[in-house]
Amino acid sequence: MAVWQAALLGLFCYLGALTTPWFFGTTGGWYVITRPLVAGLLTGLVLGDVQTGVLIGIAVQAVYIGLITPGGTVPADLSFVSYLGIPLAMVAGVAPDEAVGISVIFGVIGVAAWQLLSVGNAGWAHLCDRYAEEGNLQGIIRVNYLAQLGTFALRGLLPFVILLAGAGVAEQIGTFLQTQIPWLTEFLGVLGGALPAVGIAILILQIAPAFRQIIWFLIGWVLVAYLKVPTVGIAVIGVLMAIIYYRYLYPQEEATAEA
Amino acid sequence: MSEATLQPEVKITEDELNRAWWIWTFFNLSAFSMERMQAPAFVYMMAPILRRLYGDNPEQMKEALQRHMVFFNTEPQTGVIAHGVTAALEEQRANGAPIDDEMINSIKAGIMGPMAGIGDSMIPGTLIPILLALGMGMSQGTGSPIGPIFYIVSYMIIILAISYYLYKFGYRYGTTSMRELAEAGFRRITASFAVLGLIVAGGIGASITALATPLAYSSGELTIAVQDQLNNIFPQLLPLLLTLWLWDGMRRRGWAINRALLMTFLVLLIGYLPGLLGQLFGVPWLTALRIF
Repeated sequence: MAVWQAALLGLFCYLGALTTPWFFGTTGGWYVITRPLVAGLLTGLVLGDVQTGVLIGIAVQAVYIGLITPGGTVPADLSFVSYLGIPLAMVAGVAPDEAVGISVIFGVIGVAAWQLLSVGNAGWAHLCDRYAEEGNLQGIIRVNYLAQLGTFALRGLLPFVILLAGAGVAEQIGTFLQTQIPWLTEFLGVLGGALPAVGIAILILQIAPAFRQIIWFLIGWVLVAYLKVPTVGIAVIGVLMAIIYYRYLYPQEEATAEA
Repeated sequence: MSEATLQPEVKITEDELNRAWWIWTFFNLSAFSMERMQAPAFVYMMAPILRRLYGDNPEQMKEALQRHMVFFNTEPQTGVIAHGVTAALEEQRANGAPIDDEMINSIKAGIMGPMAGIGDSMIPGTLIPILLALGMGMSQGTGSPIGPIFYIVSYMIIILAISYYLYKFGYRYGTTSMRELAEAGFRRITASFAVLGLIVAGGIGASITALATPLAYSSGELTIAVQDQLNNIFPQLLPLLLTLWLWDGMRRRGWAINRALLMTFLVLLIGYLPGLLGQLFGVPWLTALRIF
């Protein structure tokens, strides 16, 4: 991987980080640049193979399709999944579903980087407290920019260094796996197909704390499994069901809960 | 206070109100920390408003800065309804209304919590999975850039419009009935959005997960594939069981995501080695994902 390629990917990783403001904040960064689907396209552009990039992006995205970060708790670090996992998988030359297993590992490692940042940033909040006591609005505004130092180090520089150093190794490991242990690559593919179940399970858990709510999930599942309803159809049916629930079922549930 | 009532009314201009929203949209998490979360960004966002209201009163400015440096956390894109309400409250306060720190902060907190819940199930829980699934479906198999581009454009337009609208809504209706809504109404809305989110999650789950068994029975010339039989009875049953098992593990036994990943790995390895589990043969992964 050329230096400019690693630098660009590092830059994308930084721009898409949860705490980077420059491209529409969380909206354009975390929820757009860092989505594996988008990262696949950008990585493909940088590495000169858009098609492979997008296909890997889709496969990896499936695992993290329902990722929610409630209260700043990041269950898996998408920054490193997208801008270390996807590029290194591309360099290693593995198939899209095999790339999933590789990316997931970076998601686990990356959580440490996030925790370091979100705990360390408390120092900035204390600085803000001091400025607030002085009535120094300009000081607090400045902190919002200064806090980018930590984000840039962990999300820009660190991935840049890892990509530069790791690309050669990833290539060798990729070749070795495919030629020497083919069953392991096949297993990685199977794993890649099943891992989205983890993402979906997290999504249900976030939306539905109560056991009885699982019925709605099952309705969506069988609509696709048996009736092959396309995605837009699922959304439309979901909206209609939500309206029925809002108007008729919720008041009933409330009444039974009170009785 | 008495001084303020004598002065002519201070009003936040449309331009200042919009500038505050833009600041928040870009900087909402830029100085995020576990301890105070989005507080520094909240103060930055309030800057154009506070300058207008308390610009010539250092004492009031100091109080306002301290008032808004308290813990604040919500879903950044939809929680802006709280910011609109706060802007309205600060404006009334600057004009002499009897609004104290506690009232402002309790209203802020009363909105930020429920909006975090609604926002999370509405945006990353429903809207984003739908748009991602659509984008994935467009590029599936071909690897064309159209899917990611569709996602980028559609998400940004939809979410920025929603966010701006909610902010203005909060400012306009700010103080009237926010508190009552916070009690009962929010719960009902959250629960209804959960229904939508869960149905979408189920649909997408059945589309993107792949797990099958390569088991087959042969008797003489006849070979019966177990998966074919399963497909006749309940298609996508194995991935459903895996998903529900993981959900149960997280819900009742408190598995973290890493634990869930590890368990999936182990179960699949144990199933794969003796040839019980495999990929969906004959059906390439993800082709089930149809858009229209």
